[in-house]
Amino acid sequence: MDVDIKRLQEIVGPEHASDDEGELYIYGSDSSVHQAMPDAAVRPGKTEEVQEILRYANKNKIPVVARGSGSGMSGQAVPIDGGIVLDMKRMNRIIAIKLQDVLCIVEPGVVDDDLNRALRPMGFFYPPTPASSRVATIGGEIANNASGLRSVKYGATRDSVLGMKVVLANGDLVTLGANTRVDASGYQLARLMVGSEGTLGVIVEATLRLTPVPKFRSMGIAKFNKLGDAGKAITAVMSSGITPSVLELMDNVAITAVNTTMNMGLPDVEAILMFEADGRVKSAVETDMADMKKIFEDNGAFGIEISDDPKEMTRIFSGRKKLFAALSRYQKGLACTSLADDMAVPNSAMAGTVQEILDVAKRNNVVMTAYGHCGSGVVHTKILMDPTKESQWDDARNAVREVYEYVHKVGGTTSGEHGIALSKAPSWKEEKKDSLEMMRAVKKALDPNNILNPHKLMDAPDDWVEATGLRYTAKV
Amino acid sequence: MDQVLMRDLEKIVGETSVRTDEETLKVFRSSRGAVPEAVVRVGSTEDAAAVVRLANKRRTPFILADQMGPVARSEDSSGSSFALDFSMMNKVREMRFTDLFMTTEPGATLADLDFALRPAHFFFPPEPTAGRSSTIGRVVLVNPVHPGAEKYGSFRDYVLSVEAVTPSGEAVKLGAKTLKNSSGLQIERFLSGSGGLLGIPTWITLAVKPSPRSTLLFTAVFDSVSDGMSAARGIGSSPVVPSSLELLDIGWAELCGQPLESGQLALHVELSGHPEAVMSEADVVARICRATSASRVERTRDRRLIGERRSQRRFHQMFRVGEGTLFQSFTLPASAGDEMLRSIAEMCGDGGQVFGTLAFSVFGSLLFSVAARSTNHAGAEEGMSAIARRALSSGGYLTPPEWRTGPVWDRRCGMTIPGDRLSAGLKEALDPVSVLNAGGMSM
Repeated sequence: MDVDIKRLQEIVGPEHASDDEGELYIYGSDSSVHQAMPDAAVRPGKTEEVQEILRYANKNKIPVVARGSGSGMSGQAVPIDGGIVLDMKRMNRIIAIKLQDVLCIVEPGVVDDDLNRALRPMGFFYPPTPASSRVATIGGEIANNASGLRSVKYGATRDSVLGMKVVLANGDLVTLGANTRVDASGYQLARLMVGSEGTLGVIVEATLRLTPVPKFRSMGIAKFNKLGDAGKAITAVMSSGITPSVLELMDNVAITAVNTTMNMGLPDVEAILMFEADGRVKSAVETDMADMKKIFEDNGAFGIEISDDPKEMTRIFSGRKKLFAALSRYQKGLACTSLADDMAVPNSAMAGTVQEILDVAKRNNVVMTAYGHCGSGVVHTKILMDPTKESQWDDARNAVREVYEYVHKVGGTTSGEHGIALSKAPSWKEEKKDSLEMMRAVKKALDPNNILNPHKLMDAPDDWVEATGLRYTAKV
Repeated sequence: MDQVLMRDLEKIVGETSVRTDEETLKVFRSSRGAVPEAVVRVGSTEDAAAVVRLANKRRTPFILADQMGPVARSEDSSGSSFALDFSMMNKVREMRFTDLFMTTEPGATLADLDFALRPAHFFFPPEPTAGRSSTIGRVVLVNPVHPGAEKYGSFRDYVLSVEAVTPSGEAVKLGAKTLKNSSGLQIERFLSGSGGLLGIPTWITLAVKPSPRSTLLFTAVFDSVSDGMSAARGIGSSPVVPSSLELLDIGWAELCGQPLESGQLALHVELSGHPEAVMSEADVVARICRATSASRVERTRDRRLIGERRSQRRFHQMFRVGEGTLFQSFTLPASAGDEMLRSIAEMCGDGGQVFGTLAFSVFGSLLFSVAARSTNHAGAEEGMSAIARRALSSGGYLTPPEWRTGPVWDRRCGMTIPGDRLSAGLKEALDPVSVLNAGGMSM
């Protein structure tokens, strides 16, 4: 593709636009299995630069893929059509923190943990925080409607985004949403941008709702001899009236990975649930923890430990946060791949879903793990496989198909948090076949030349193994 | 109405579901008094889809409505041939308490939901200022601001999935029946608040919650408006998260049947949740109110009384005021609240007699509703326009009126609504023939 690198360098400065192959290689992948080389990588430092870049790209019909830290798991930031990768990390200012209005205004390249470090001394935090918060950027989180450990109580990114400024494909800058908590005026355009995976516009500023840091927190670990019992316990808690701030599942594969690689000392059982309650009244938190303990015991849990020691809580949660890395070292010769990595099911289907994942793995000769923020219906999996064997890719693709067939059968959806982009697109398109044309109409209205992250979501290829490169091998 | 069109509509919905009598039509008039030529009552997704396809084929615009009238914030529906009334679509399809959601047709009211949920000790928290007689379709399409948003979020936050008829007459499924969802474009969330311009919801899956274990209403009366506002700000910046925080001045209190025996402003704070947390929060509220010179404070846990008082404050009471009363509502950042109150007080004698002001605090924002009645109608209109302009220039947003009276002020104010060119482009993409709610959503 003919990209005028000198033109781009005029816009952002020569040190911030490159077509050097070594640099482009890094921009060709994210945390997914996919890999594809862009033609140029550009790092804008301000909104006007983003606008100029998009005007140039739109005029010349050059694809543009916006990127934060590249921690997305479904291929959102992989430029499968080449073109320009727009690295937003230079735009990393916290513009304002307005405590009286309970909001903050940030640029998209602000890293989640950096934002929370700035907020905590003021008694507030930004709750959607995913497990990748050390690197994930706010812009990327919004584009994927990301969420994390505390989403069971505090919701996903869409629940915390009040408004944003977006550069459209033609370079126009629009302001969407509001700087108030409840904007009911007109179309909910900001809502449309959340979760749009960079296909409708490039976010250049976001207004985010803040949440007061709870005064008291207490966490516990419940052990189960059966994975299905843990699933039932989750359902029982969520329909009891208690709202835990964390309700996190880890199965034995996940536990083993964390213990082996990090010496975490997590109990070696079939499944554990990490649970937490928070609030401003200590006795209320204690009551909730006691009530949850009882529910878990009624559903087969044993050896439940509860602590409100911040150091102990941090230690235990760190095991969960580093799980993805730990799974990479679960067993020699196996790579941890993000395929069927994420789904959401109704609470009543939780027990069946986690069991089905184990059964699918056995049937397809792969190793799979079930974990995640199951309190909000989200289940994460990873497929551990030998990527050098073509047969394992066939096994993995079959496993993905079976998992999502089951998820759709029980009324679930293809992604709870990680988005669709490429790897989950075939299953997702089957789920959404009714509404694809409506989505395409929206896309066409906002991006008539289809330059923004093309061939993702509704236009993603059905066989991404054939259509895209893979990080593990150049081609299977 | 064109007789051929009339017959075609009757073939779809039945003769008795196409009404052209004056008594029926006047319920569906726009805020400027224009009436549609017919009201078409649909009873199913299939009927709705067939009507929309017919409208497309005949290039006949229509407005979306329920029993309260048009849904859209439409100041001019004179171009619309008929009103499509979904109020007969009022069934509850499923209630899945374990999964924390229920699915209902758009014509079911919030009161219908209460009736279905209460026996299982569940509830649907958001309540618009128009009260529980509002239909689900209306509150989803309008996404009105509501007093409980402080604690429970807005209506759109509860929309999990929608089965809808598109402006071209296709039936589509949007969203998912799960509490979390990052599956592609969130069109179901986009539909919420669209005023019925982008599609007609025919089944709506809403998140529901277990009823709170404890509820308490705290009421304080203040001799001055500024003391009451100070109390509201103090509570807003404390760790207390009320289920609602409402301020009523003398005029509004009189209107809703809770006249103040003394004082200028009443503050109603509802707290709900864990019993110990509620008591602790009530103590914090009491301390703040005493510190800001409340002349009278009282509290009650009587759920029936709390519900009754809440219902009395709702806007359906405003219809008793009668024709000629003007209403305006807007949302402001909390930091702009005091200045706005002072502006309203200053404008009082300026050609319009401000009758009553009601303000809700919603997480760092304040929703104002202002009612004005005067024999000098033009003067009152001018006063309300000035209030709306001041609200917009203070960084706020106008919010849609949920009742028929009251013009749309944003166009008169001549202010640009953010993103409106983008909105127009999306409307054109999804409704190229422009049949659905033409004239709605001032652009």
